[in-house]
Amino acid sequence: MTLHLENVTSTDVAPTYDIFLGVPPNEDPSAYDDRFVARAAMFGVAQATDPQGLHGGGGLTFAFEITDLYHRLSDANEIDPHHLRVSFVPVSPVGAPHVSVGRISVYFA
Amino acid sequence: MNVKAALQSHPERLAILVSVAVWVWMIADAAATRRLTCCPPHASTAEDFTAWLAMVIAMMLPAAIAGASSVARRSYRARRVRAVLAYYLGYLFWWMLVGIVFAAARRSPALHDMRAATGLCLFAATWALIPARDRWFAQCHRQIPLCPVGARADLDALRQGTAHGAPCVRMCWPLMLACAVTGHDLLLMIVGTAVTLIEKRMFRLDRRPQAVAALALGAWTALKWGAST
Repeated sequence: MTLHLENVTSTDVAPTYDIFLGVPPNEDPSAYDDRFVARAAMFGVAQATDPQGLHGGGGLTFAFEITDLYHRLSDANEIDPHHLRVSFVPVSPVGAPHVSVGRISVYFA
Repeated sequence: MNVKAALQSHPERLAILVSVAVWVWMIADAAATRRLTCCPPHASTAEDFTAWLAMVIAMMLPAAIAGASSVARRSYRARRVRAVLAYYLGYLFWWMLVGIVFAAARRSPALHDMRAATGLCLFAATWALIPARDRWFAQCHRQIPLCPVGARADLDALRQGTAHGAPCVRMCWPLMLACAVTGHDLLLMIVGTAVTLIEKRMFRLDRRPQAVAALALGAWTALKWGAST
């Protein structure tokens, strides 16, 4: 199964983000290496966001393989597919970016 | 064959059936009256608008298949048909607006003159070369996020359709108007459809097919005008 981040947009340069799945609320995701999904680079996000640009303005889309991680959390009863927590941690904070994600979804094969 | 399951898997294919049915109707109408156009020469405003809508459905719906397919894949199975219908409604919205304006303007004799069609074809050839076309081409493939459930999901599918329909109108309106001015000449429609589908499949926009086709159709309409005088 895959975690999809669709229509990731930002009007300015944005940092790279580490993505975590199923981190308990009010906890620091960086302390949960076992729930790390992937690192998403925001290279080109401003250009992809520009509706007048050559990329249509749809932003960036990412798809991450999470089969093993999901099954491990599911077996340990530590994940609820109806209330998924996806955390974004900037690797090196850059300025004050306004990154938005249009849709987050999990695709089950 | 489970029709419901087939429809939920690929509801966008319904548009192909509708488009083919409209083509058959238009060709049959032309054949029955022994014309190369499928609409009567002195139609009412309502008939002009209906013919415009039929022309758009026949020519442009196949070009919107990829967008509709994307909406279907991003929607829950149970609401795929509904999402695709909303998408097509949004897509056709801008074309219907243009059709209303055209049908009203058709009261003018100038829009029954084949020379107007020639002029529009030549303008379409120039329109194919403008730099903004690159932006519109990219916008034709733009994806917006779709809410998965509820009324917001229907609205998002509709918005996705309008997001694709608007740049489509910007790119293709001169040639479509030329088709309509000729009374929906079948050759213009067939060539226009072919060029649109070719352009839709391009990875990077190549302006030449559209420009060359528009010039050729301009020559065709000029010949028709010459033969009629």
